[in-house]
Amino acid sequence: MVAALSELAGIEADDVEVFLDRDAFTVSYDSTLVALDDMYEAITNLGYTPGLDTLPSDQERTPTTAGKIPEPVASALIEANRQQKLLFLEFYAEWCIACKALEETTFSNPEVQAILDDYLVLKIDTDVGIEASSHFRVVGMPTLLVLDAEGKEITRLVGMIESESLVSVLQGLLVE
Amino acid sequence: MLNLAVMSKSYTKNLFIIPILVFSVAVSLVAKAAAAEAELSKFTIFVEGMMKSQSGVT
Repeated sequence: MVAALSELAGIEADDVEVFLDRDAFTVSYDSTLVALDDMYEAITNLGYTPGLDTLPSDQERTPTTAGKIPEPVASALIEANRQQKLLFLEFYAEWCIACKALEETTFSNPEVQAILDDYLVLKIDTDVGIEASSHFRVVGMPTLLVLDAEGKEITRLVGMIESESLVSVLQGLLVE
Repeated sequence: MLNLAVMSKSYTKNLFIIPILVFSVAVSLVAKAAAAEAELSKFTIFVEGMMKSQSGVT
């Protein structure tokens, strides 16, 4: 799989770090040369499926808006409604290098922190919140979701995102 | 003779510039490489069953 990914433009073999015990790997890549969809395709072509192994079978898979919303998202949604805010979910893991990079860059930006004050923020460790991660079909990290009052996903941001872009998206959602 | 002396002096002066130019280019290349490294995006992808098939990680 490392070989297949490193054949893609913008990815070197040294840029792929495997976490075999987590069924995951972290890729450092040039986003101007390769997209996440290209990586998904490379993985699929090898006969694998990008996503958490805890996902139910295809027959049982339902849209993220359907079915009972698992904890801790359900409780957070109630609180978000009480505060009349949208719910911002961040899926991460302690061992996720990409998540740490996002924390150190985008989430440490004062403008991002300021706009997130208008949201109810819930961080979900994918190692702990397995049910929630599966429910929202988290394929990789970092994954950021915004849910409306009914728990419907209105925005999904996957991968690294610049501070300016995140602020723009979040401001746009508040205006709507 | 005077002209030659002036040219020689100028040539010698230019020789001193070469290491500076080389150093500048090297610094520029290192800076560009560092910038390219810093611009790399990172993403962690889950793959179903990767652990069950070690061959998938080769």
